[in-house]
Amino acid sequence: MGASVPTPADAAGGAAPLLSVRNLSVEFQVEGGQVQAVRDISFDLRPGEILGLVGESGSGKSVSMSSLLRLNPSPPARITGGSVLFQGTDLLALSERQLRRFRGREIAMVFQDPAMSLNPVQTVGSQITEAMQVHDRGLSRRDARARAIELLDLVGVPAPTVRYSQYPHEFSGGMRQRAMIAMALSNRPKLLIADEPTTALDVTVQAQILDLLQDIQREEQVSIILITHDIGIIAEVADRVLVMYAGKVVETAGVGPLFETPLHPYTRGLLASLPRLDAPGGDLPSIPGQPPSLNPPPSGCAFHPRCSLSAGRERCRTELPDLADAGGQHHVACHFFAELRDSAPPGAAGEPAATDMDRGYAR
Amino acid sequence: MSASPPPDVVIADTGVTGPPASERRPSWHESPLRISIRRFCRHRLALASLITLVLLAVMAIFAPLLAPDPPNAVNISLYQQAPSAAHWLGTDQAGRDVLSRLIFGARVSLTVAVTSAISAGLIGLILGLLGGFLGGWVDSVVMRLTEIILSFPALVVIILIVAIIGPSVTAIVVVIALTQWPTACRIVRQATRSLKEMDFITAARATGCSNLRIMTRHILSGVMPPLTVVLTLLSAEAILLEAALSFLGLGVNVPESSWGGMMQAAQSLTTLSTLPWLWLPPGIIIAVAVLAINFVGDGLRDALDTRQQT
Amino acid sequence: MVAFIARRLAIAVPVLLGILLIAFFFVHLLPGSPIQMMINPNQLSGPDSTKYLASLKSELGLDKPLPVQWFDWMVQVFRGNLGYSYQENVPVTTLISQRVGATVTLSLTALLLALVIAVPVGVVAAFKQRSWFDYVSVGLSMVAISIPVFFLGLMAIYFFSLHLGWFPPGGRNTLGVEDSLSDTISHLALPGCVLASVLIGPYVRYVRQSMLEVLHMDYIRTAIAKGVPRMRIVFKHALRNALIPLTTVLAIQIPALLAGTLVIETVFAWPGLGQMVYQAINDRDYPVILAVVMLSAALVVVFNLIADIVAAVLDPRIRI
Repeated sequence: MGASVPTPADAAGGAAPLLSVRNLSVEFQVEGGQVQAVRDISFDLRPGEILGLVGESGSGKSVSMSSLLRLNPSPPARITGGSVLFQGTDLLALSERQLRRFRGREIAMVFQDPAMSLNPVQTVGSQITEAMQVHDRGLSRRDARARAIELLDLVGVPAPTVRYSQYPHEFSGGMRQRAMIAMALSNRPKLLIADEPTTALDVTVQAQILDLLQDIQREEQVSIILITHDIGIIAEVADRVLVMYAGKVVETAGVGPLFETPLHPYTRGLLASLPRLDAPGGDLPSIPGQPPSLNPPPSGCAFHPRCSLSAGRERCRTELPDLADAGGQHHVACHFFAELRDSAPPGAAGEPAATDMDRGYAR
Repeated sequence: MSASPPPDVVIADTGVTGPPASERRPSWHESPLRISIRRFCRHRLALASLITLVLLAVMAIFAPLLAPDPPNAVNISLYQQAPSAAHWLGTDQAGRDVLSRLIFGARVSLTVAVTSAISAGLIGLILGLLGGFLGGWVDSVVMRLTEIILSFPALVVIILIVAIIGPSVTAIVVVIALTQWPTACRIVRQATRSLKEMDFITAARATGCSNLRIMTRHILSGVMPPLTVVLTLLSAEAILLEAALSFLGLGVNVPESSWGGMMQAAQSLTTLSTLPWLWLPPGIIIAVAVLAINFVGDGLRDALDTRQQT
Repeated sequence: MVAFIARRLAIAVPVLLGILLIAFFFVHLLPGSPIQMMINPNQLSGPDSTKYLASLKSELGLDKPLPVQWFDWMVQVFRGNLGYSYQENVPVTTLISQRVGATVTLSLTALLLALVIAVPVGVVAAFKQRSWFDYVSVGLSMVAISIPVFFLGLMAIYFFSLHLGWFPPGGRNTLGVEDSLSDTISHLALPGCVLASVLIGPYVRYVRQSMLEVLHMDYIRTAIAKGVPRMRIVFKHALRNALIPLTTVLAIQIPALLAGTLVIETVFAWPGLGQMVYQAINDRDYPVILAVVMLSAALVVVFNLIADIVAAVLDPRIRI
């Protein structure tokens, strides 16, 4: 049934959420049955915030966000339940044509940039203007071109007038990603979903793109959902974090509290496995085992086979934990999180995570 | 601090709990060959086609046992009879039983097809390996050669050469091979070039393998899958070429005649309209054989596709 | 772009030379000495014959080493002297020019028909993957590439002409009847369709394959996320990218088209170059055969060149 999520009344500041996802479930039809890629997730996104969505491959993070705009090809993917309320409208209930008015306009999406995210036979500029012309028929070519060049400049592409007429293969990876962001911003969206935007980029370029995203949040007042498997990026950029595992949200908190006091065993495992400059030498800890198959999903808590907090307890094996309120906007899906909360914070070095943030991650 | 400290979730030394043994993956391995065979058998169409081809081969091999009459038994009194109980597919203008000729025809058509395909494949393999692996001027020469040969319409060149050296079975096989090897060569060359860049080749070089050894041991096995697929293509093409040659009266001059040769008489409009049993059966059986080969080729291509995992 | 064209031309030249070399071999290997092929029999009788023979011999360089002979022969070819037909005693070029129109009509019709049918079918089959339409199209195209062309022609004549009487069984126009469009079309219909089927089979498969690959590309997903309407995605984004490899495929199929033309013209008694070559084969008229073979090979090279240039125009990545 419905997990308990922070309702608008809980939210400090009381602003109505921009996006409200409730009980979203997505399954994939495969040869041997169905894979429950996303299982009954719910969360809110407040206007102007950067929500980090972190999880490993197979956790359902990309699938869930692509489903907001119904971008998953419909066989084999199928949205089996839930609602996605964007400023009051349920996106899942819209027809394809109605939904198209949101795509690229109210909600924009940026993908990981393997070289083929942009059409190789069209100039970058024309692809940006297309994004505008599709939603505004009356826009003249000159105006569209001018705005596109303006956008390229905004995202930090040097010599934008020249770059406008160039082809994607003439751009470097980082510049292509900037161009994609420019394209996404062209219709002044309220929400930008960035799916692993930096994964394919060099570390230095990564930092630039992350800075760009933060600038966009601040100056253009765009809310951002940032999907990544790299928890270090979350630490740098996100305001709030959603941790996903095996198709479910297992923990959600503000970024400070999450790093200071992670309450889900999985999150703890993730944080502990980060290499740290201040840690003594030795083997890097890792979470034993593998993520489970979701065809069908395991009974009870999906993490229980790998969880030492569980230690084989019956309840973990049979009962699926709901997101429980741990105080201060912090929610955890674990039956026994209280035991962790009442103990000292973890970490091989025994230092609180806040210190790591002060030092700044070498990312 | 509580009296009994809760188990530290973070692992490392002791108390590591992994998934229970029952949930771990089985450790037996499947060789790529078995995986490919299994995937091939899943294509029912390809499997049925393979069986069809085997049946055709059996028919060719055991022709003397299967054919009701000798294929060359001329008997003018039985001239041009429609299909009947005695002659299931009727008789031709010389009174020969069409069904028997059809069965024996398999021998010629299939032999020519298989031998020329294998020959073309061999030539293409060697040249493709050399060109793809050695690169440089060797590659340029091989590429130009393939382009030149592929520019000529195969049928016409074959006709020309056969006109010079005479229409023996060997000649036709050789000439078909000479016009078809570039197709195999292109595929082998492409495969070789992509394999050459892979890390396991660099590793082999680092252990001191000579070029020849790398080519024959490492690249050859990697090139086999696409080559097998190409071989099916070549066989199909060879059957069609031989049939067209024989139909035009320029093919093998063996008395039994191939399937294409049986259709030669249909060039006349009267024969075409009045004696359909002469030319329809061989045409249909050619189409069936080539279709089966093509389906098998498709099945092979899917089964050997290294990008898929199941 | 210019550099690309120049480079492409540079590659085509050795290929053309290779073709000419092979043709030259044939000139020597085929029965009938080189001089017999190039000789104008009309000038053999009469007072100037010895002078003519002598000048021809020196023009062909028959007393010089082979490479020089080759060069001299090529000069002859480029001057338009492709030899004299053994059978008809006229220059081969005359014969070719008489018949080339018919062949061009037939092959162009087949090519256009094939494209008009194959491209939409392939696109729709890719779009509606795994639908009945997809299975039927793929099945039919498999059958099309497996049936011998001449057999298809025979069946076409048998069913549609001899038994149903819808079309004439051969020839280009009805004897004694004035040239009219409908007459030409009714004669063109069967051979055109049968020849087209040689191309439709592979084309449908290539178009479908290419379209399928493109539809799964990341930039299509980006376009959907931008809110581009579906039809526009298919035509502007997918099709444009999918058709690029097809120009090359088109060029590769030209030799098959030419070979098919020979067979079809024979089966349908179509008065084109193919039928001429077939008759020449039976008459052992080697100059004719050789000339047509050379020309078709050269044509293929030209087509490949054009196809590569068109591909470079469509795909900016190739121009490097």
